[in-house]
Amino acid sequence: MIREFLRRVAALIKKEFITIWNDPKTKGIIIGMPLMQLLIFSNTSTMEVQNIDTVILDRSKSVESRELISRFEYSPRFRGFYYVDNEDDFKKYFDVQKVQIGLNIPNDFSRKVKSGKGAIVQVVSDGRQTNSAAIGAGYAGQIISGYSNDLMGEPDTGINITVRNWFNPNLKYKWYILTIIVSMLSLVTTLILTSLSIARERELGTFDQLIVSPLSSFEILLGKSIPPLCIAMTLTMIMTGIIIVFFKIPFVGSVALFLLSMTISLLAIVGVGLFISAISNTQQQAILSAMTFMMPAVLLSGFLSPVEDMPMCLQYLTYLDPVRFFMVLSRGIFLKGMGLGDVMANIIPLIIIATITLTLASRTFKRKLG
Amino acid sequence: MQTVIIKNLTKKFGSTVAIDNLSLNIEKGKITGLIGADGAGKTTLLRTIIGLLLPSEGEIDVLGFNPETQKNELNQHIGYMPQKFGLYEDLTVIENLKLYADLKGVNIAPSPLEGEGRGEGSILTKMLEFTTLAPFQDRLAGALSGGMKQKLGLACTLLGNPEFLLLDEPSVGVDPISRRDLMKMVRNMISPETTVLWSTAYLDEAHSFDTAVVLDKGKVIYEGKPHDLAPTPQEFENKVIDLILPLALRERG
Repeated sequence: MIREFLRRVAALIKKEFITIWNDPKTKGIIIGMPLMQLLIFSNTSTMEVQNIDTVILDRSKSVESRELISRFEYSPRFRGFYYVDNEDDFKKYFDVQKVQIGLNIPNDFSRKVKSGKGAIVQVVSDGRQTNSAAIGAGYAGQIISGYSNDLMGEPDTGINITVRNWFNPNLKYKWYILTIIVSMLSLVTTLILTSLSIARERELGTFDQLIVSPLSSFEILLGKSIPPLCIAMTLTMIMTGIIIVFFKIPFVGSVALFLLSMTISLLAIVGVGLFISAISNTQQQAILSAMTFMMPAVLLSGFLSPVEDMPMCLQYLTYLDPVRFFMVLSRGIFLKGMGLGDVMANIIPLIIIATITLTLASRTFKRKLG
Repeated sequence: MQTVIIKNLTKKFGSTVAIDNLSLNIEKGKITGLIGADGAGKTTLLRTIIGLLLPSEGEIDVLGFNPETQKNELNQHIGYMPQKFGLYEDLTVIENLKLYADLKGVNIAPSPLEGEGRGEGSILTKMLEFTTLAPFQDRLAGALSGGMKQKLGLACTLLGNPEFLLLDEPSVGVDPISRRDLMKMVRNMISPETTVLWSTAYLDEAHSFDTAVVLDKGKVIYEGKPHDLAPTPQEFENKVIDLILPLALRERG
């Protein structure tokens, strides 16, 4: 009985692997696409702001102000510098969007620095470029604080713009972005593979054969889940290896917990993909449905803006989103060394989601018969 | 003894009635031809019998199972070949046969020298020889001709010696020699207890079956031995057309 069960499921798994491997397009999607995207995203999709153009209005013209300006000039993050001597010219550079950041050093800067009475340096950022402006202002704040500390030997001199980042102390946004991108690419690959799997069989007319074969719905579900799960896990490990070796991102968490949480996260996505596939008649429908799920799922995951900043009703909705927990786990274990308790708190919702979606997919195989 | 007992079966798709209050028995160990023009309801009837479609009304008993509620049990005993058989075109001929053998739990005699399923006396070797597909066993199924695909599909369906074989127009789009080969395959490879329900639009082909069931607009308009209706295939064809035509003319007014 069990031998027959295993033989049937193994035959289906083997068939899935051969079918995927023999189809050049699918092979390209699962191997080429994630690696290529990892390469592209690692160089383009970053919150790190480089090459900031800056306008400087130095009214103080003192040793202290020149010292501060030279620190900006030697920072790799700042590129073009425009020196002006009046407020109107300062403003003009922002009007034509030639700069993202402006540094306004007042007349009394040197005097106040020397007396320790709290010198003020105005950092102006271009609010139209929200992210880069905010990040640029943060960098400027760091430089000013650093200068202030060096000068006085203590932090409180009135130039107290302080930016501090936990877990990513050097503001290396590449760390943050790449760990998320690895999860995202695994997720997209899994979702595409699974959502196409049954729809493809329906289009080719092979699904009827499976339905009238001695395979039970559970066996079909197993045979359809294991290959994409294995492929996605292998990809995740390869991509994780790449970002550790080539991008020098430190993996501080537990490898076992990482693998466990990735498996369960991907299983929840497999459930969603198979459910989409089970309700789709064609591969086109399946892809469109997968994209319809993907966009809101990523937006609700907290990838672009923190879940806490969303309206309350959407915050509740995020609990239904497997990508949310997937994201927290991959980033948390990778960069923060998230402990077992926190990992479990995020894994349990994923187990519930996976159980629901896989059950729905399995039931839909039958319901779809008409 | 009956393999299939159908009582007052109706299958509707929206407002369209595909099967109209149909009652039919299919006798065990016989080849029954399901005859009818396109749209007569042949495929719908076959798919409803095996539980791929659910009846709107009526009862079906297949080998003592209810296809609606005992699908998994029924699947252990049937072989179904749809009009377009679902071959995995990315798999080779032998890989397709092995897959279906594994799914149906068919014992493949292992041969360490020649690879599993390829040894002399193996069921797959017999199938390959019988279907004349042996020289093409390593060819992808997608690269086979139409006739060869149908033979491979039939071979996959025949694996496991199903008690009840349902063939949905297996000879459509196939050359006359391959049509004859398909018929020969079925007659030679099934056991005497196997029941076959073979749907076809080719009336000469249907004349050779044990029983003929003529369907029109989802209703049975003739059920009996083909030879009782006409002694030769040509006369049988004319008689069946005579049966269907007046109904069509009457409908058109």
